[in-house]
Amino acid sequence: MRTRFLVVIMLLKAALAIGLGIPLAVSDARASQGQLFTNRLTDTISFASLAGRPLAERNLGGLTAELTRYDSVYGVPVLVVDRDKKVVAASRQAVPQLRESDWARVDLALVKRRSEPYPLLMPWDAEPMVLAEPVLVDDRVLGAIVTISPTDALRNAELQTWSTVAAIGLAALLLAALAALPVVRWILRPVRRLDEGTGRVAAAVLAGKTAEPVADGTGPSELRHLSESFDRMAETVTQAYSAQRQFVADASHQLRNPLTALRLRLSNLEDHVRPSGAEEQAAAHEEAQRLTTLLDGLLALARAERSLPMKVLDVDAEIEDRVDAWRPLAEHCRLRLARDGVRNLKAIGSEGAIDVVLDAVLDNAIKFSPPSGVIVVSTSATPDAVEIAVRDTGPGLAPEELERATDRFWRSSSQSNIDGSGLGLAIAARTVELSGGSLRLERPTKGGLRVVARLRRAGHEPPTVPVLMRPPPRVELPELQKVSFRR
Amino acid sequence: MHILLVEDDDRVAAALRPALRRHGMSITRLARGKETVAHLPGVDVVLLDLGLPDVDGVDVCRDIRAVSEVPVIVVSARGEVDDRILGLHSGADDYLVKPYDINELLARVHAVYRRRRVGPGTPSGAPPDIVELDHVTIDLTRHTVSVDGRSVTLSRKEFQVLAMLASSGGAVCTRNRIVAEVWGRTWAGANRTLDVHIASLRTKLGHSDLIQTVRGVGYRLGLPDNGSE
Repeated sequence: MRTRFLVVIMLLKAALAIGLGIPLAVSDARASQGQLFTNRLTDTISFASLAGRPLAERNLGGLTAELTRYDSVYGVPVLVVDRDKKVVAASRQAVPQLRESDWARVDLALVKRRSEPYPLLMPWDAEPMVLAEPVLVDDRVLGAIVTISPTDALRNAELQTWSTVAAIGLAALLLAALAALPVVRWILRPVRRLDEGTGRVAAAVLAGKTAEPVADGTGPSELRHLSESFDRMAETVTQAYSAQRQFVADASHQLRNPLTALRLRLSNLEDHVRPSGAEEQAAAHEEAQRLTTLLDGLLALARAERSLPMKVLDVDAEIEDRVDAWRPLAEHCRLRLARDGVRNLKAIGSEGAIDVVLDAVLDNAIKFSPPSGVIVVSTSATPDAVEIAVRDTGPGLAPEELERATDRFWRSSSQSNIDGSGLGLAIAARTVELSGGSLRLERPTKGGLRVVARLRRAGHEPPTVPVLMRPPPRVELPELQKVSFRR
Repeated sequence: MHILLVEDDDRVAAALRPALRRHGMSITRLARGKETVAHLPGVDVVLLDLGLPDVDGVDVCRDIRAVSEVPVIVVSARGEVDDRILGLHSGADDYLVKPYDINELLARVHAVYRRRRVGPGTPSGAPPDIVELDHVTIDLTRHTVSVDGRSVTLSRKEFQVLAMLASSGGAVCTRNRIVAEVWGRTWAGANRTLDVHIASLRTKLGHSDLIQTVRGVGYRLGLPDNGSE
């Protein structure tokens, strides 16, 4: 934006320089050309008045001598033509050739017309300035005097003036650029800070901290106001977000006391319920238990939504741990739980992120897969990401359900009566997102559901600090080992 | 058994009072934490809520420990791992998260009461090395189990579950405690996984009534002397 801003300013300045410089240069050229024209016209007219008698008497000796002297002094050839446009006298031996347009001027002179001023000669117009004046005797035209003035000197001077004007224009432009740069910087400073601020605010909101204000009281007043409004907005968003998170945590805490009382009261009924009502009482117990599960889920979600420090996770160890924990249940449900894919991967995420995701996903996979199915946990890697995929042989989801399945409290319409809070995938998705990854659901061609958690890969991220500036590993390793032994 | 209930929520206290009375316990209830220590004489077990209006329950727990060895069970709405650790570090004997089942509360009250009465370090408090029930012999040191003299192969976790039940001597082991001690943590499928292990144990031991289910609470070994409760 700064470059564009500068370009616009410079374009305006350039237009100004051109607008002023060109008329100046042109008017200067016109003035010097007019001067030359007038001088030469005077000379031509004076020759015309001198030539009257010699031409009438056909005695051109003296006149020729006069013309030759003039030519040798000023370098301007002079011709005398008679009424038939025949050259009867010339100031030099080699008579310069006249062009069509020059003869037209001679024709005009022969009908007693005065010389017209020349249009403006440009530095690249090489033609000479030709003036023709009638030679009159008793108001009769006997011939014409033709002066052929070279314009080299004129054009050189013109070129010089123009160069000077251009040089001054360029210098002014340069000065303007130097002056505009700090101004542009001053104007754009709030914009730059806003740009940096947005990233900081997003991070601060997730971390539940207050964002550092963007406004620093500099820059043009409109942008200053914008910065201040931005700060207010960031504060509101941060507050709203943490208020929401706090609300979820508080609500699930506050609901615990009434729920405790409810469950105790239900138990107190134990011996006072007639056998016919025992079933109802058991069902009421189950509802209370369901509410408890939901509260636990809400609290887990509120926990998942606060950001934790990132660390390097050993993907193999975490997967092995969870697969081992779930295997007895899977085998009991006559499901095979298998591990596949690339080993020895390291990912970046919050502590326990992989656990949370696998618990939620394996829970669903085991819940929904019919007996004798297979659940495969596989890993793959790209240069900057690690993907942990869980594929089951359950009923899967409809295409339109894939997007919504990670929403809170969402349940597939076909499975709404199976136990659970409907928060498992939402918690998994939030956990992965806060670790800088993403969770997606896919429909494999052979049926079932495939849930893929994508995390940043450790050791493959582009270094934020130049490698040379890091301390050499040889110094770092013994230190680390010492610490870990001591603990 | 006399219970001191430190709980600021009137309705929870009101609901708990008849429940405990029904199981033969008497109650003193305090709505605030300040005078707790003054009420300790004659109390067998303290049920302590952490979210008190005047003082932090954790501080109350420390104050109790400073003057008495009475068993304390923290009963709190705050169920996060950090809260539990803090509660247990401040001297509580057990930690129960609301909402709880009355049977689980009773099981824990009995457990901490028994532990305190037997006292740590006394020989009778240490679990026996070999537990024999009907035809089943469990050797806790050699990690072997035999039924009618024939040895039975159990998985590591199955043995740990059985050993835990056996060492409790017929007292109820709550699901949460079994999962926490055998698996080291809890997760979404923990309860179902425990059920799977119990089912497998029952099949392998061949005595389905040896491991009894206490509905909504957990499991216990069906010892001949505790069928009366």
